[in-house]
Amino acid sequence: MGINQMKGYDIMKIQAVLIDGFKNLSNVKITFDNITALVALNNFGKSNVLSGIAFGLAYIKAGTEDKMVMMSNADLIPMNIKMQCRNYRYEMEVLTEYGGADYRVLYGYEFSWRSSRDIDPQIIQEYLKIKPDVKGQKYTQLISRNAGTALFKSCETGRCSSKIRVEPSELVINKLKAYDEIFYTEIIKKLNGMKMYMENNLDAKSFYRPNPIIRKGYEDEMINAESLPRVVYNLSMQRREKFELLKNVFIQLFPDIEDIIVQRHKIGAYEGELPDDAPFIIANSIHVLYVKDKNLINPIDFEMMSDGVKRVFMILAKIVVSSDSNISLIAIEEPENSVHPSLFHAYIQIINQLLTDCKVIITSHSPYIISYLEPAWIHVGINIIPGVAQFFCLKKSGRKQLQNDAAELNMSMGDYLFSMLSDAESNIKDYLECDADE
Amino acid sequence: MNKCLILFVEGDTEVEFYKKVVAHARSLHPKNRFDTCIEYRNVKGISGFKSNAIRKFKKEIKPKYGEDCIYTVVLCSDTDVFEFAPKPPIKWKEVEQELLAGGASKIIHVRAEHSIEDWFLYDAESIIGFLRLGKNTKISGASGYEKLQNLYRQANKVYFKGAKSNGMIARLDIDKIANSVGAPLKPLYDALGVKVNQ
Repeated sequence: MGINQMKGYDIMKIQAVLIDGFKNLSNVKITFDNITALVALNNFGKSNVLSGIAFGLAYIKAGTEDKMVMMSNADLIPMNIKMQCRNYRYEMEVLTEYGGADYRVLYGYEFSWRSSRDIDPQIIQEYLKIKPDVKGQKYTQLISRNAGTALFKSCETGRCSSKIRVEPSELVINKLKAYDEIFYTEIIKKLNGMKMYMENNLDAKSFYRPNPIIRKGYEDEMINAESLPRVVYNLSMQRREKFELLKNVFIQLFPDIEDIIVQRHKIGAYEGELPDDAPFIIANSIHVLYVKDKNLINPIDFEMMSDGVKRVFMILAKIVVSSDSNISLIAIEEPENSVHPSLFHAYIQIINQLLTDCKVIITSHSPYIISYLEPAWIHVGINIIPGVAQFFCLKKSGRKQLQNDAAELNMSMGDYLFSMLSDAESNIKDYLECDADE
Repeated sequence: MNKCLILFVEGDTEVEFYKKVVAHARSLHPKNRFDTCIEYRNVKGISGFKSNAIRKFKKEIKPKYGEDCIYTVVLCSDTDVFEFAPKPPIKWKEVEQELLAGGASKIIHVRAEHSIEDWFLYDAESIIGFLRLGKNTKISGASGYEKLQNLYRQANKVYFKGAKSNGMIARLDIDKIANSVGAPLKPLYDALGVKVNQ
């Protein structure tokens, strides 16, 4: 059992995703290690990859009407000349326990965007395949759908040939949630419940303010809660050992800090009544986080700490609570933001150690961070078609070569990689799994 | 003429560990003291081992002891490269050459097989005691580093390369470890004028 695994959520362990036809993303396949990094120049599409994954998972969970809205979102429809009319395609490979054994699950779908008023968007492809996670095993098809028909496998011995009626904006896995009798119902339910957390709050300040306002439906929320002091207070009450772990790792990074104190303060009752349809409630208490620093005579409000310290604590706290929130993937935009490079080595190792079955994907502009990662964990974004974002991992031979070439020039791997990225005439493609003539 | 032995290590835990090793060597020395000054430098950092070691040697050590001092440099490392190690890996030959060119008289390598955590685990009992784990705690993992991480996990703590030991090293029985390690520590003991049986 991992350090951060406290109760028996059997989460879907995400191994890879493929996204196509989302903003400027073209056939982006990301394979996940514990920590996966996306590097590219500004305004290339790194954040689009994170949004594209979040969109793909949110789409699975959305109701039929919400799906229609999502498929009509003009902000997400590819606009590049070379990608016009490209459908959105999402595929993921996950590992999960099923019937006491480890299974590899391949699930994907494709829909057409609403590109004009007259043509309704619709799902045009969907598939689900599973196989035991043992070498040499073949996938068994459980769902097969195209624009005209949708088929599923209704019994273990039969073929994937049972017809199922679905709306054009309804996924077969949504419909099969109600089919308790099918033998892979557990997998269907898990696919429908997959979650990702996106940490893109480069300014963490607002999350530290004591706040009695809670969005309806978020009363017990941990990972997506807007008040970090409340999350930490709940953690200290419900998962004391996790709270201690969080303090322990934080103090290791910032040794001048002696303690983190979280307190709940009762506040007067709200006078007057909120309308029933108000999207929030007002709690009768607020929570405040304090920091006890060796060099200060009194504890201070955490809000007064530097931006970097606040962001680091927030990211660590979110990772610590992730295992109780059934999160398969945490996406962190620029974890290096406002953080001194001397902390990166410890910071990245701590993040790695706090993870259990959940994976982390980061975007980064820091050659320091990149130099600490295995080359196999890095995906590099380069333009082969102008304006179209494609990401490539390093070839097996390229991983070694990259390090050798960096060493020859007395550079770190990160510096060498970033110097090539910023030079349009560089030979960066030589190291990548891409066809230079594509 | 002054003599100075400088140990370059990566991490606070390693500094603490080698201080204990040197103290152990001192206890075995016939005079219970060395005829050389000892300096410990943690060269872990964003510029990498090579740059930090050379900077510290030229800008901190040499101004302190002068040009006439005889410098012996001990480069401490692991034989295995762990996954979060800075890349590319250190080219030891280059580090040696630059230190010699900078005024070092002799370079010694102390290389922990496979990692320094394997050495710590020669006294696993003390680590288990430090972590307040049960005496029958099982130690599992593919490497010494992984084993130590797993022990820390069981104690609701994290262990990572470069971390402060927060008392773990102080608990180790260095006599037991030095005897178990044997040959890899011999060059250091020799440089300190201590004879150990291998």
